[in-house]
Amino acid sequence: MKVRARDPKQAWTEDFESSPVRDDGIETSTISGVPLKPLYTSNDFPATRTEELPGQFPYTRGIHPSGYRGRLWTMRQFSGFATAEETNRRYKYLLANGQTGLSVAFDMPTLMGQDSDAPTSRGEIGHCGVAIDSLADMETLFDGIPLGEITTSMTINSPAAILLCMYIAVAEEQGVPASVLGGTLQNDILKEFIAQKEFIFPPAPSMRLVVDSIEYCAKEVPKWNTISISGYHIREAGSTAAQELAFTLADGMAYVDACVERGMRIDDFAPRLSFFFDAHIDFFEEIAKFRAARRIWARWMRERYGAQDERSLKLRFHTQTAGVSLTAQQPELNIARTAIEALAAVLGGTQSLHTNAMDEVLALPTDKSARIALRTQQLLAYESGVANTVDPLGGSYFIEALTDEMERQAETYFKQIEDLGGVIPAIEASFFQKEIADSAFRYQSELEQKRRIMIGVNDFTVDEEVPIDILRIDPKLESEQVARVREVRRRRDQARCSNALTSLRKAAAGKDNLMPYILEAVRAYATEGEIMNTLIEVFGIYTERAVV
Amino acid sequence: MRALEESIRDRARAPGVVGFTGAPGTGKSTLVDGVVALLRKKDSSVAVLATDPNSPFTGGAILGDRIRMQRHALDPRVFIRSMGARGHLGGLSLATREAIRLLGAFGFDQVILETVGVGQSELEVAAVADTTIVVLTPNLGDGVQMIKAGILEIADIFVVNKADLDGHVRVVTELRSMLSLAPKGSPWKPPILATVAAKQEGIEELWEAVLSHRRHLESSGRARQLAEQRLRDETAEVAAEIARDRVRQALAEDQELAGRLLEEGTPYRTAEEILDRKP
Amino acid sequence: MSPTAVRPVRIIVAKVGLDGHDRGVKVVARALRDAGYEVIYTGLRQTPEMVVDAALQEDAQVIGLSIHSGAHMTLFPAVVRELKHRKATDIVVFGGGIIPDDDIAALKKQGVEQLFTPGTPLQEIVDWLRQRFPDEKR
Repeated sequence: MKVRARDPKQAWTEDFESSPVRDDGIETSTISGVPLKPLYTSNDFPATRTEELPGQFPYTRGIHPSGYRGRLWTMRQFSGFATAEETNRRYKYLLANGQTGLSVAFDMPTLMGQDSDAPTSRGEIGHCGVAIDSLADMETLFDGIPLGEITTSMTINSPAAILLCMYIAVAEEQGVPASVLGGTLQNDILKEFIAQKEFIFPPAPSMRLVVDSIEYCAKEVPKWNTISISGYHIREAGSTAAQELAFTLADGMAYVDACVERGMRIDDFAPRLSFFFDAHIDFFEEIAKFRAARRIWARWMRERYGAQDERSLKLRFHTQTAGVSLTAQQPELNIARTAIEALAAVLGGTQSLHTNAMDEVLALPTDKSARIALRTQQLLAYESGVANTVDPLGGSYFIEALTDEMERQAETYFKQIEDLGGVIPAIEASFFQKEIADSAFRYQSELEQKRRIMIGVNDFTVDEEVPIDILRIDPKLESEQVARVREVRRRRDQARCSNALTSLRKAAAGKDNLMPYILEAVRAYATEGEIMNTLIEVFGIYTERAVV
Repeated sequence: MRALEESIRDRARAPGVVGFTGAPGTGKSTLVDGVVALLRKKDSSVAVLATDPNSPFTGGAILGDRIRMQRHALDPRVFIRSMGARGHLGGLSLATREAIRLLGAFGFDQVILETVGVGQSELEVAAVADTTIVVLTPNLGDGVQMIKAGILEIADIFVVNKADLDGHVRVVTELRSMLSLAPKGSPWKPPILATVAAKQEGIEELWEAVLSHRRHLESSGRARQLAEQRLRDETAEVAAEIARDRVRQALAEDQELAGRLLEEGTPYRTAEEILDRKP
Repeated sequence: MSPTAVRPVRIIVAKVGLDGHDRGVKVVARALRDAGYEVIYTGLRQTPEMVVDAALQEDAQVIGLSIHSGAHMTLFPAVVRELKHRKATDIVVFGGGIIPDDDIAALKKQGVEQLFTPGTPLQEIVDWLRQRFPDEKR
């Protein structure tokens, strides 16, 4: 009997349909709910598609033609300690061991623009980072560290302009001109309204401060990355990958709009904008997300904003592996999770990467777990071979189809945001917050129904002690910091400080760029709280319209 | 409840009661928050009873009005109670009326009721409040036509909130034309006001309209009429509730009775039989 | 009001202190609603005084607190103390967040009845509430 040759794709379809199907009830869509086919073929990859290449518009395959062959990603591990002195010691240790980039985590009162002796700072000092109340603390933090020779990343938002001015002032004292200072300021207030909720002022004056800092740095601190437009926090708050992508890029465009409205030329500031994404556990979706991000940004910068400088079109991003994917139970598994997530970031072409330590759900990482986290990156870079080819997954039927899908979903969100009148009206209409809350709840429901699994949490559990251990803040620390800030207030030139704050208040009520005024206040040892309160007098305090 | 009623009777001092009703998303909570702020500026004390629907399946609810009024947290002369509608068919639970009397006894000058306009809840508010305010917004989809007919009759004041949005003028115009077609019953002509609650705009004018309505109720004698009618209605409602409970309890405890009911299918006779019994 | 009227258990959920991570508290609020409770979320940046005052106004039987900033040892006991000050010690307090075992033991000694750590299924919180308040009809 002659067997007629079947069309291979048809044959596969028939064979697949008569194959057994897993009946464990686990979702086959991505963690964000994007339905996945069991197989992608050339049918998903039309021949008419133009081939993309790294270093070429729209940069889907990477912003540099040589990828990691040219230069590996930066291994930049975020870390924070309670006191300026302790942190200063750690910085010196790291620098002595060859690290050239520093990272500053601040404590809650500092992040919220409060002095350590404010009543609502009680119990909050030093827990998640260093307490900085005034220039005096900043001087201690960077004592003996040559700011002209290193770069520093500062993770702070509402009071970001103040901390940047403190950094500039310390450099000044070292004889280092602002024009050579390099580093990054997170300074992304829009995602605070959307996800992290560390906002203080209402959206409009908050944006003004961001634009002031971008405008000022474009002239005075040209090597500084003025903003790290973040999707990480949005994702950690429960959004899907598509939402993370769309909301972050929409925020980026809102900042660009604001700067253009201020009168800046796109190519004067866009090259210094940078991004910060999450690397979650659904491996391929993350890779597609990163690739789509580059493509979308490049198109919008060129087509909507008319950017000419290539550097304005190239989306640069830092990635952190997903904190929310880590479990307190069987924490060693987190090493494997982090490795998978880091691999996704690398295959997605990240410029720099932070890998979480395995015990971060429970505690500030031990030296050993912090080292393993760093080694994980080194393993990828030097042992696994994934850095040897640029965008190795480019051309994969699946990855390209998923990249296109991410882009499509993002564009749908852009339209919705535009229909609402833009990012700020959408924030005030609680659009983002509702999407995020819905996604978070949906995911939790899926977990509870075991349609998604978290090993050790809802399946493959073991009976074990979960040793949660947090950094114990010595209560003495709080009283010492309180004493310190009071001492600074006592000893400073009161007239100079008072004048500086008065000038700042007047300028805030007007249209001047506030950076020089904040810088003067900082030099006069006005405290962070005093500067913030002065601005609050003019700008007011924002209360969110919470949606559950 | 009897004991409570007795204990506050002598201290009864009727507070002014204003009801806000309207579809979800019209900004009622923000509007009420603005009115509370205004009243506090005038040194009045105010209690807010805000009702949200309970899930008919689980009975649960997220009562989301308080969070819109955070600026009044810790103000001892502002009291906010969030209430679930709890399956009471009208949407407003029976306890509201007694709560209003209690709040008056405790010295609150003003009571504000707030409820979502689902089911018959507008009628419930109107039955309890001196002044009923219906809140609308410009993005109403198919326009004012979609508004239930009952609203036109019960509204003492119309508020078009979010008046800074497109379509605001159209809503006002449509509303006005619908009102002009309505039968001329009462001498009070419900004003149509524009507010932007999020910016505290139009709130003063709104309160002025409320006071004007109150003056009308007094001078026309309607206030007294309403008070009498309401006490009668409430008495009937309480009686109905008591009867309802008695019947349920009897059927739960008396197996013979329940069995007979099932066999013979005679709810009317069974009900009368139960109510004839000594309680 | 009739004696057999339904009386759902009313729960205040709040974030105390400066921490703004509200993903957990919002998910819990929804879960409690779906389990039949009346839930009032009072929002971010609540002080102990604000939380207790709301609980009293709302005649809530339970207060749920959420903190991820490490400040729980200051703020949770402060809520318990405020309840004592306002003579409302019958209100049950529970909490959630990154809380080590030692702290859990200490907080329980200070009057926080139950603490839920990361990875706790929502059903566990609901089950605890159900056995804690068995008689309230929902």
